[in-house]
Amino acid sequence: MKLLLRSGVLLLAVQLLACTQVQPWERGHLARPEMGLTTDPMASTLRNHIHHSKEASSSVASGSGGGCGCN
Amino acid sequence: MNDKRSSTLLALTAAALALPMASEPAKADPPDQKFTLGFKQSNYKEAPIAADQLGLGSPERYTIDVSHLKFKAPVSTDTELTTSVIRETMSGASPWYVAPGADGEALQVMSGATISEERTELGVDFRSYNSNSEVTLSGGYSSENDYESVSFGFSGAWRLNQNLTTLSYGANTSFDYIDPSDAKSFDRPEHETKKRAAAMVGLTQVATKTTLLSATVGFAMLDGYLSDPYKRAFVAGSTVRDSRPGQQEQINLNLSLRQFFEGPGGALHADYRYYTNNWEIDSHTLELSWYQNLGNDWQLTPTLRYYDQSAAAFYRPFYETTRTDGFYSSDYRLSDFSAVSGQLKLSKTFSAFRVDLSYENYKASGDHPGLLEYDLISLGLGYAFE
Amino acid sequence: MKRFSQSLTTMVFGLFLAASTQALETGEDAPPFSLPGIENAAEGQAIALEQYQGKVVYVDFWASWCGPCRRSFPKLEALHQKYGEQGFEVIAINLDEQEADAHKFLDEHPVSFPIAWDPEGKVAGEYQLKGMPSAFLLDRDGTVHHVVVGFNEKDAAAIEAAINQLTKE
Repeated sequence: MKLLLRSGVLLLAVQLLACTQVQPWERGHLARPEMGLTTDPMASTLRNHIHHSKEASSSVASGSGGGCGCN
Repeated sequence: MNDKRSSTLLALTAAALALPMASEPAKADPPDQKFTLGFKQSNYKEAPIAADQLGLGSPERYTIDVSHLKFKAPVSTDTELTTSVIRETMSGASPWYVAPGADGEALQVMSGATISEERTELGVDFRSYNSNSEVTLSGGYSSENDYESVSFGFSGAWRLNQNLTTLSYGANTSFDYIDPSDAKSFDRPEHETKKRAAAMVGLTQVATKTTLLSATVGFAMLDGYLSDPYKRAFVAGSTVRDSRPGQQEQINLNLSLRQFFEGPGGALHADYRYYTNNWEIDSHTLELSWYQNLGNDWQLTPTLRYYDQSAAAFYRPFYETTRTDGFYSSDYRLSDFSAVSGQLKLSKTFSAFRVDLSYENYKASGDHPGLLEYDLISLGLGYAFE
Repeated sequence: MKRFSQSLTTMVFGLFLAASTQALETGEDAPPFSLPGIENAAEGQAIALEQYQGKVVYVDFWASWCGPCRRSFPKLEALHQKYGEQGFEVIAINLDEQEADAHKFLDEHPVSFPIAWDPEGKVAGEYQLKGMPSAFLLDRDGTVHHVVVGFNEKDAAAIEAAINQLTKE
């Protein structure tokens, strides 16, 4: 749990530093497909399924965000 | 060993494949108003078990062919519906129990002949998007001859701070019904059920023009029959049913980094996951990928994955005496092991068409004689139209 | 735990404060600009807002990587064709860092209105864009009449109604 809290605080701190820098029109690189959290959902489905069935661990879900930030 | 028995032994691995969840991570961008069709054909093949670790049975293990078809269609300007079908055909043998050899070494006893098994999975996602938030409702169903699973999920995201910050959340639940074949003849349980409920929250932040950071925390609770009906454990000279606690709590923490490098024109993905459960299994997973753009819309992606887990409190390869709590499992998935895998993927995008080919090799190492090595080959096709 | 939750609260508030920068609003005068034209503009000549005085102008900010921009271009072209004779003009300001990316997009989505290039986002900064795409519909006096962030069918209908009204004024 401690690790968890620490990582949370760290992430938020990084965000605060970074906050206002990236403008909506500066997301050209972030909008690239390879900059997504998940780049190939069908491949992820398959690999997660295999890993989940061969290892004790499983993941609840991954997050979302990033991308072109378009409205 | 007769065919029927092999068939059921075969089904056990499939049973353990209970769906984590049919849902997919929420997307960041608005619906593209396009129809997209995706198809992936994969072949998964486990390496035969080494002769010096095999106690009895066939050294050949699983081969699985997986066909996955997915179709996304816009419903209105801000909603879309995704449906998917997965069909798996499996054949091979699987670990049954572990017995001590002449020198006290652990030897894997395998099931026998090669038989075929099938699994079908259906999934539906409905996504609704608006300028500051979105939600996705999901449903899934999986069926094979001795296992059925139904799942429901709800996930969403809020975009804050000019879309630089995304707060995501989700909850899902599944209900599984397990009805092992030939239960009476082989001392297996009948009509068992299992429930799972899980929730997650996550935060994703655009840190710079080329950096994306993400953290998610997930909790899951499992309740019901969590043992493997087709596995047995060797206890003081005879074998007993695989028998695990009827409840499990899990926590996982995921940290992700996406970094674009303008010089080489590529992106680095770094993902770390910490997992712990109340059976005393802790695990660490680190995955690194490099997406190299090669020009003309070709892309080459090498991936390295390292996984390490500790054993469940009650796990032993075999038991010399009985346990007071009555829990026994010699499943390699509950043992102390680490695994390394390497993957290489090549993809090419045309204007509306996409094709990719990937190869992965996975190798686990530890004390259990049944630990896996496998190869995975996938061919993916994608097509988008309006 | 208490200290943690306090610092968490501070940070979350910080995020919201950072988000509340002011955008250019309806009723304000559109900041003037002059940018190089990269398509449908005279060779070597800048595209300046002042050249469009007395017209109803749709200033559109876009980039090749922006998904909704792809859908907006055919619609803007149609509006440009339909209301051009009534004094309606579109100026599309591209924000790609590489000019080639803009041309690739324009080859796939050809239009007849002028395209200006603002690779460093200078004008985008003056217009304080809140998202991509962003557009500002200016009346004949150069006053912002309508601000559009994002682009979908509903937006398109509202934009056309506004253009229809403004060109009659």
